Amino acid sequence: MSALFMVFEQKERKTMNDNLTQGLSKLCNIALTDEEAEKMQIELEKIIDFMKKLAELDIDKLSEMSHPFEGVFPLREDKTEPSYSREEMLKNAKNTENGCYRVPKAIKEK
Amino acid sequence: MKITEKSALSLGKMLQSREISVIELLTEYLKETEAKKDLNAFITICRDESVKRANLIQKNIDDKVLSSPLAGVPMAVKDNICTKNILTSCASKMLSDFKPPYSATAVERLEKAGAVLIGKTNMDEFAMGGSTESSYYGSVKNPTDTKKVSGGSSGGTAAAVASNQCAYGLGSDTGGSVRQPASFCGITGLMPTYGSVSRYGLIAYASSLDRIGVMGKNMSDCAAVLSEIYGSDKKDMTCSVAKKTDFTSFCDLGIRGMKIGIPRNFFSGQTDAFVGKSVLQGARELEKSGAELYEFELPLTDYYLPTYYITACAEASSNLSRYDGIKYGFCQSGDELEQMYVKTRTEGFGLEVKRRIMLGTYVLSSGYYEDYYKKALKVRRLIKDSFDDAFKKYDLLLAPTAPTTAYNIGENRNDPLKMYQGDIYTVAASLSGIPAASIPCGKNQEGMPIGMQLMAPQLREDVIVRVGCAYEKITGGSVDE
Repeated sequence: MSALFMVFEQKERKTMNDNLTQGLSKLCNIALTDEEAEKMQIELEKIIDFMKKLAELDIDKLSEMSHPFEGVFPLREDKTEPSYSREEMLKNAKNTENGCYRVPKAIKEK
Repeated sequence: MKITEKSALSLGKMLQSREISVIELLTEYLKETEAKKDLNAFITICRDESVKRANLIQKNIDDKVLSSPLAGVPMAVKDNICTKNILTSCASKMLSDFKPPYSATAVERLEKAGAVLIGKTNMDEFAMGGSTESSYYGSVKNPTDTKKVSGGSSGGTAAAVASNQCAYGLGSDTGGSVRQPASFCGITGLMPTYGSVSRYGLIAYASSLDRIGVMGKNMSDCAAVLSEIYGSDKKDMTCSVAKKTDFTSFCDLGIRGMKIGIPRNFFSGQTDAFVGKSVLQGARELEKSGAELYEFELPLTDYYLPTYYITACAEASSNLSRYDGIKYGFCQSGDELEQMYVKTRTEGFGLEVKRRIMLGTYVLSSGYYEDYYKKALKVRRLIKDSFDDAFKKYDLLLAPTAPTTAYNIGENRNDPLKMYQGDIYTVAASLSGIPAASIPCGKNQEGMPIGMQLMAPQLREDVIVRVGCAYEKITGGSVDE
């Protein structure tokens, strides 16, 4: 699972606000009960409202800083080195077969 | 003084001079962990492993192949730092059976120096929290008053050190998680410069903010431990600048002529009056050793918390997407892959983790990304610049670690935003990548510890060590005899 991005059109943006928790649950692959969702909606709205404080600042021309050190990090040589064994890496998995992770079918049959 | 109350360095000397053996010392600490298990500071006690290790270390000391100042001294490690074949749970159901196939670089370096791992400490789940109340294994109690929180997320390590269940410990700090529990429990907590201690083996929360930090009874101990773990590591690309340094060499250098900036806006608003008074009193003590104090105003304080929470939650939502039940960790099977993901993540994560993943997902989603995440990254630059400007005038900045002392267990659980407010003075150092520490500077009228925060420029942990040690000398606060 990679980082989660989804494109919303304007009408979906409005829907996202109205059903904030439902939309986010789907994106995060986390289910909430109705009671949990109601509570979460209130909490998230409060926190998101608090985060809107940044809108007060006029910073359009500034560049982003995603990292506290802005130098170039040295890369190592592109050389194969010994690493951990397959067995060690599979040790913590719940379902394995023939040295692979075993998962439910991902592609649905027509 | 009980042997378990002594500092790590004095214990190291006693072990080298054979006044006590490693196994005798370990036995005393194991008795403490048994006597104080109600504090719930530990998730795992490594009884058998630590005894085997103690015997090995003793042999190495006897054969004169190990003379490190910390050889044989028992340590605790926060449970989000990998220890080979020992449960590393992040205090989450999601990793409640996870035994890493490798140890973190920081752990390996300490083991090379002869450390004895006594156990893995309790924490807020996935390091998300400021009170160690969100742990799958239950809350950690403050040793000073067991009705109160130990702070978080490294609350277990803080409580273990404060209650003499170990001589020192490792924690992790993303927005204050070493410094704030150190403040709440009355010990020293040191967060080094971002990228100066390898994050290899630190289970990620927010990768541009996470750091492994040290928690100990005094600054000299923290300096000694930091010296062992500090320095570049090929296994962590972000840890490539720092050079191995002996920080204990700075302990006795004093602080004459040092310029200390005190941001006056850190002492108003929500800062408890007693906390503010104690920290300022602490600052005045440093004047007796020749430091010069200057009050000034740090800008942008109103924007620290939104910037931090947007950045940290965004990174967390990405980092925690790896927990899908396939490669490791809790797994709830489903007929289809997506069903398996949802069931696993729904049951495996606690509420606070779910909240932060959702927040992070929101601020990264198209339509909101520009207004929140990109904006936060720009404000992060502004915050860092404001600290860089302050460090042009001052060698060190001094402020409260937290606006209050430890509060009652359960008091803030239903109000996450109120909980987040407790991080107001610690997140700025996290965002800027600078080192910072909390040292105890007094107690309030209920006897609860108060912490004073010391912040220095990037890679200038030496300044923090000098000030911390000087403060302990002036106030008689060091535990060394």
